[in-house]
Amino acid sequence: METWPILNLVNLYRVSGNAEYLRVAKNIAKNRLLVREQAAGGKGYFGSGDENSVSDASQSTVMWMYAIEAMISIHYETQDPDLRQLLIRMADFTKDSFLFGGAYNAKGEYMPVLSTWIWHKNDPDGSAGLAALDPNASDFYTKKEYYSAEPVNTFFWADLFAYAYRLTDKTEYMDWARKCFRDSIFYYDKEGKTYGTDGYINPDSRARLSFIDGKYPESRTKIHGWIARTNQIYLFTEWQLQQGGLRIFSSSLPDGTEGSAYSHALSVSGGTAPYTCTVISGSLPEGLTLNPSDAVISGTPGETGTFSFAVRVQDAASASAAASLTITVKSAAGADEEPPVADFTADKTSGTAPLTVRFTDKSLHSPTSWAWDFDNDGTIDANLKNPEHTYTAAGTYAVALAVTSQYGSDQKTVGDYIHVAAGGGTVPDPTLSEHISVIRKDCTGYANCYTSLSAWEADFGGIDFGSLGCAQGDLVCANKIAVAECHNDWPQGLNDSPVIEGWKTDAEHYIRIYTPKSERHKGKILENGTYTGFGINLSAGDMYVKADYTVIDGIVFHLLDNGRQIILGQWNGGGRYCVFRNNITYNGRYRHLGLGDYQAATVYNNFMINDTGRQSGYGIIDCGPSNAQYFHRIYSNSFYSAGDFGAVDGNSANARLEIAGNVCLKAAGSVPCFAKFDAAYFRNNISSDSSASGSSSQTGKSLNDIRFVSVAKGSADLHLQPGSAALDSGADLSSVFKEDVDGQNRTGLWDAGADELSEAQTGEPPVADFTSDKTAGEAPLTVKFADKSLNSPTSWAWDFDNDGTVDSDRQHPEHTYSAKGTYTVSLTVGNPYGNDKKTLTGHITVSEPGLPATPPVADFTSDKTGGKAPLTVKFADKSLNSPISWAWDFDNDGTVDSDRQHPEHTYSAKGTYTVSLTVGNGNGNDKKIRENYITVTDEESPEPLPSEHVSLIRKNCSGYENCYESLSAWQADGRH
Amino acid sequence: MRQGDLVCAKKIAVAECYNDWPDGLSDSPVIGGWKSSRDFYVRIYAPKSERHTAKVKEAGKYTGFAVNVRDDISVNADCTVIEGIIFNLMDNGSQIILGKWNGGGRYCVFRNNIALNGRYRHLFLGDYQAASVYNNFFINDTARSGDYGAIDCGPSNARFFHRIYSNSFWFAGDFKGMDGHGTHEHLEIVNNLCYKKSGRNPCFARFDSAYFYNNLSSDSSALGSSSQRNKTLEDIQFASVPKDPDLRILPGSCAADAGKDLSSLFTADIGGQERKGIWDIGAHELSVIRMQVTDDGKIQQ
Repeated sequence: METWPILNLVNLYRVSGNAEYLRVAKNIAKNRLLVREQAAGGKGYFGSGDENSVSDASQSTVMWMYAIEAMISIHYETQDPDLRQLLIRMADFTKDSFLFGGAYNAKGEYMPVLSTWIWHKNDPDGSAGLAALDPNASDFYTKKEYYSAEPVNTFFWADLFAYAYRLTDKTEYMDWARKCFRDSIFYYDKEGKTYGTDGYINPDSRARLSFIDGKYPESRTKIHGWIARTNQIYLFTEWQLQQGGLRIFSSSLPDGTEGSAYSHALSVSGGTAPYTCTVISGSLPEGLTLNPSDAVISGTPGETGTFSFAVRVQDAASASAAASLTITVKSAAGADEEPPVADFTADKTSGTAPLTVRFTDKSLHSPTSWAWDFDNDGTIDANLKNPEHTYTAAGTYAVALAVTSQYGSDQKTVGDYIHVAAGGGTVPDPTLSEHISVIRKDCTGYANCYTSLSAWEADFGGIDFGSLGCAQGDLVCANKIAVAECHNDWPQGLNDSPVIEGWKTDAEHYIRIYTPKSERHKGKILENGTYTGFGINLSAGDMYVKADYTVIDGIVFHLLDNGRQIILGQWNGGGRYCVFRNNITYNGRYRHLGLGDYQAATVYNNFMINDTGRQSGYGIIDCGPSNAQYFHRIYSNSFYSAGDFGAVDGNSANARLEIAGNVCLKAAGSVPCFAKFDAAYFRNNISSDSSASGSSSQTGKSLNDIRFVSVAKGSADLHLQPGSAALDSGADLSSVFKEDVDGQNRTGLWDAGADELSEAQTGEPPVADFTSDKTAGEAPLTVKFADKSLNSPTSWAWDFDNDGTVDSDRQHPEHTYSAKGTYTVSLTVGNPYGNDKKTLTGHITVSEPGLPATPPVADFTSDKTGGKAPLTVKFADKSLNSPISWAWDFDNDGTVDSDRQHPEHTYSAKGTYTVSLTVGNGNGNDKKIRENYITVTDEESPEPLPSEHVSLIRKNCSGYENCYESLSAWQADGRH
Repeated sequence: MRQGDLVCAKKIAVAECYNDWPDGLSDSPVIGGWKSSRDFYVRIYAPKSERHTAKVKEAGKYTGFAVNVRDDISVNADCTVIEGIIFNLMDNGSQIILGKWNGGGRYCVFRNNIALNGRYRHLFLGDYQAASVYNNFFINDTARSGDYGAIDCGPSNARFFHRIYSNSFWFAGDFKGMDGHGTHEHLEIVNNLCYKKSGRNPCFARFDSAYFYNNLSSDSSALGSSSQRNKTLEDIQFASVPKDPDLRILPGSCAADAGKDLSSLFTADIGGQERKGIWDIGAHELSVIRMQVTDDGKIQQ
């Protein structure tokens, strides 16, 4: 924490008047303190010196006490509203949680108000810790320090409370400030000890006034240092309290009216007149000014709205005070009674996802409510006047604002208003100049080839950035995408543990570590003991990704059940917006993926498998804190644990963590599949336990419901099978990605999990069917058979003479009949979902050579001749004299629609159809026409059936039965 | 037998609406709670004698049975048919909602109606509800701007696609004609005619170009097979706009004989007249009367 340098900057500003010092000081303070306070829960405290200690169980309060003086000074000079709120939150947290004592015991001994040295999360007021200590233990004093600390530190708190009083006028703060003063000064006893073992001191023996810190009697340097410091604190706080005498009491000013004269004098008291007032931040409404000498705001407002600004008053003794003020200017009388007219602006209209846009209401005629729709989907997204919205997906968005007042409402929609380009590495731009390196076991003959990812990383991808005038690893400067293309040359897996760091990247210039599809896993980890695609055994340690926007795609990571894990990003350490997709992670011990705090990782289409019986409550994906600006996205992953291993844990700070379309199957235990998530962004997930509690989600699903292909140890395969509860149950995330783990396009309703079952896979068994080019002829007769089966059969078994023997396993075989006879032909087809057999009895007639020739006589029938569209009709050939060819025209348009003997046709459109059949047998042809044979009626306009129930809608139903005087009344009584 | 179970009762529930309210029936029905199918459904219609003349009003009175919509009309019964009615949406934000994802109202038919003066949208088609909307006039004679679309389509796909056929749109302001939204696979848009006076909102937005043909727009948005763009009122020749809007077309209109034959689906136009010959674009089929001079000098049809 740069506390004292910041204070120095403020004082440099005070002595030089150079506002740049103040600007820098404020930015540093805000960037450091507000972020850390938010990370710690946003309740008025933040970590000590170590920035990461905000999540520790215990924290030293000293370091952030040091920040108080700097914060007060910056706020005093800038009136920054965020720091103001933080100071008040700190004061509240301190008085409610940190301070104890300030009381006498039965012996008349006094316990001073003080703050603990170490604040324990589970013991915020220190009482439990003190009570648990054994006074006779040898380390009693050491341990006690953690709870007793130094009352001298309450100088800092006195400072904070005094300032909080100035900010809020709440006398409670001043009371605390004085207690802190009193007990800081009057706490040392004559012997230089702090106080008794029970926390109380004898008032008779305490020193009346001392600035000497008795805790460090052995160190004179330290003593002098503390003397100086406590004097600083004391005097500064005293000054603050004195300043409290000079006050501006007006915080909310009377409303003004556009175009009408306005005058209001600020209420200033205390200090020594005359006063000088100045506006130090913000601005007054157009047309109004502040008179420096009499503190009167006057003029004629020329614009409407609410205006915030800060005023400082300085008295004759150079004491000063400041206050934040607001003025609301309404529309002119009469105009106010007009309905509002919606209008708005945005601080930006384009950028890269995630894009945060601040919208500003510009509506006229004083609306009183606002309804924003940031993506024009008909859903109200915000009701604030000037909201902020973060667009996470690429696209062009229309924005709508509906405003209302007591006089009416209005809406404005701006189409194609916000343009968001793909970001976060989710949609890499392939047109950028890539630098492709190859990862192979044997690099002989390959350029830019490395035998491990670690070697590639160490060499920074081998890019000669120097020749480009860029630093090593600076992809932005070099205008490169660094690609490590991994080849499946290690059947037993590459032993490696790369650490990706030291790069400079952005959304367009990033690192891509991927396996091309030819080298990629098949959705399974192992087959016959070897990896099905490029695999890494994390043998040497964790894999770290500390370069922003890194994409990892299509790799098998074996975590070896030894505590190895993949860590995407680290708070303030790089690795934001990484993408982890289409991978398989296998057998983590504690977790598979650790997502860094606020790193906005995107994790989708992965299979994450533990086939050990391992238990872990960290979660296969262990999320660091997430918030609306930097939320992680966990989409369409499939999790399987043979033990009690949770799938996703959002941990305590999970605001806007998005979890959608995931499937989790866990064999045993009480660790939830999904733990600690933001319910508002949890949807379409499936769990084997009860944890997938959210919109469109399913719970309590078994393996039999989910139907993974296999969960066998060593060969788990989390692809889905037909009938899975995950089918059509996922979230449509096509704005983020469109494929599944296999690279197959997702269509229709998305399946939950990483695998999208294609329609061809959806479990329909085949339907056997076949034709032949002829059915009769003289011996030897060669017949070509054609498979016409449906639903993609994968096997064929032909029996050309129905003798029970398979004569061919080809799809479209040929067979020669050498002997006279009538032959029955059968075809049995199969696919993974079943088998089917079709037999045509007497299908082939083989005659002896030289018999008399007879032309055929065409005729046919059908199973139906009318119905509603779509109408499927089965036609049956009834021709005589053994035709061997058929030409059907189902709609008499002169086009042959089928050459099958007994075809089927679906009429999709309304109409009356003439059908013809032309047959031939080598000795001639014949044609049969049936005029207007098939009648198809309109599917959308079903004619009223005789059994209609008609009601009348009339204004006056007198004399009518079944009559109603409104449609609503008919409906209400309807269904009668 | 359960109340409202038309399938079990083997009934078609018909509300036959009579033009007894010259100033419009003030109403906002919600059609729900029925069990219906393609054969046994709800039909709300105005018989031809009580039906609009294709004009909204004459002499200040509705020309046929009309509903002044106070609030949204929600249709949550499958296969409901709504036919021949004037819906005045009153510029108050009300709309007609056909179907709701998992809430009923699939396969509804909205035909031969006039929808007037929507504020945000006129029709809202529920997600995957496979609505059929044809032969309707959609009119806004206010200058209202709106980019939801007079027909605002929920996601559509090859299995449950909406069908938007032969409708006519006219807007005095910057009102979008129809919007297929981000997921519009197999959304069918055919034979529609859209004219809007001004503004940047497109007549047709976000459609599946494979199923978009024979449409006509006053702007450049009718990008599709056999479609026409950038057409003016002089090109289109509505019978009357902006006063007493009547979106029937006059001889010489560029919409005449420019449509696709959809007679396999329906054969009449908004007025119930059979469409003959080459279809016109829009809800109205121009009736071509061929005159000839007989040998004795008389003129006859």
